[in-house]
Amino acid sequence: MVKDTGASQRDGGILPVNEPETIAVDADDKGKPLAVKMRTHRKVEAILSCWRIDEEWWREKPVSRLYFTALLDDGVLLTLFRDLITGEWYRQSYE
Amino acid sequence: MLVACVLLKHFPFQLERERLPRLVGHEVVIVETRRNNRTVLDTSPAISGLSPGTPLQEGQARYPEAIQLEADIPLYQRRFEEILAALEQVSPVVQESELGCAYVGLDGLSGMYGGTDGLMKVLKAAVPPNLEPRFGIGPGKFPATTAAVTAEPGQVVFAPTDLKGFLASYPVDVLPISWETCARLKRLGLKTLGDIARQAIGPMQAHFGPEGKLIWEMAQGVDTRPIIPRKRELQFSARVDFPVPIVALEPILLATESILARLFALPGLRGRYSRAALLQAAMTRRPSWQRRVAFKEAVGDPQKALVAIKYALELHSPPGPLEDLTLTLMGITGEAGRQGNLVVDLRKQDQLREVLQQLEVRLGKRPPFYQFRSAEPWSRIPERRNVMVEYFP
Repeated sequence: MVKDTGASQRDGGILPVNEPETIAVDADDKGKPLAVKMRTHRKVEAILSCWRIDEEWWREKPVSRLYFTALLDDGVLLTLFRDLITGEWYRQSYE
Repeated sequence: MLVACVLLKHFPFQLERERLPRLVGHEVVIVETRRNNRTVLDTSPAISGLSPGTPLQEGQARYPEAIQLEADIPLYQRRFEEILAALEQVSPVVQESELGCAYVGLDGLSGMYGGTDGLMKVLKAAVPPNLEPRFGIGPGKFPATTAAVTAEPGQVVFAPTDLKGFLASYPVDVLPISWETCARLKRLGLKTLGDIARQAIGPMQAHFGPEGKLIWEMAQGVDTRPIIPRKRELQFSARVDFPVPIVALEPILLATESILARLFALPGLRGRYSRAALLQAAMTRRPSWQRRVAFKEAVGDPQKALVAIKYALELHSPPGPLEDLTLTLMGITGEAGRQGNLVVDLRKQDQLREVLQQLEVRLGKRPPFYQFRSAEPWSRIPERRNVMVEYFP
């Protein structure tokens, strides 16, 4: 199992881009998001697509996520995912 | 000539024990591989009779239960380099004998440090005590070494005036000779320095050549070999830590590009050229990796250096995941001019540089300025695809 070096980023190093941000999500029993809380509470009108990634299984912290593209009630498209290991919800652009 | 020998017994093992505390109390053999020959580099103190250079098969036959570790030579050299640099703060005359053993010239220094006691105190302070250093002082390198061999950790031992008598009972293993010569001496019944001192110099030279003369003189307590101070080469080095160990070549090259840009922007390297680069990295669950890249001609800009390093890495990629990357530019030449190309996109670079300088004056420090670059565009994990790399126009 490959260990996380735990090194913190220093000035002059390489900075990551498009890191996931935590988001509060209400989901049903099957894990499908029903509403998200950003500045205000927004209902999820429809789930346009759903996909799963399982990567880096050989590392100490593997990556296992279930992504959703959600259409909110105000017409905004939001990509969010549920971390299948920790159970936390995040928003992140997948482009 | 007054010489101090700083001896770090079992130096590679000490460093491995620092890294892996579970080795304490076990028999350990550290193995070095050179051109498909596997030999013993070092052992734990519990193991006796296996000197460096002993073939591994002999070690395995005598200690079949011992834990075998691959030697991490770059780590040992790096740590020893730190100790040598600290010793050079005490005396300008420091010679590295082998890994874990250094000679320090002490002539004329006691006045600087308030006498011999002050000098010994400063010498001891230069070496971390957890590495159990031993110090021997004598009128030459070999007497100093034999005094150091008898010292306890942290102790300073002075070689006595009657060196021949002092050395007589020492085994031939203490001589600075190869494993094969040592084995030959023992086969001839010369097991101690006293046995050698009783011989005439002629037969020793006949059997062992110039080495025989050296061995005979040392057995008499004579060692006129001078201390040759290390040559310090001007080098520039920078490092990047990776949040996760990486294997793919593209992110490694990205990190290399970032480091090169940083190094070539240093005031000390401006207008100068480098002839070679050394890449070093800590690897996950493996000894450290290093690769030296000699440029075909001295390079003075990061792009040319990157082309050469990229080619070398494509031919010899690292054997495992890297946790960090250190790049050292070596062979720094004096300032040299090179005919540039007039038809280059200079204006944009100049404008960018001007803006950054202006911002630096306004903010009071250099603003962080990054360029968006692809790292692993094929990755299914979005945050792995692109990174921001510090940019030096």
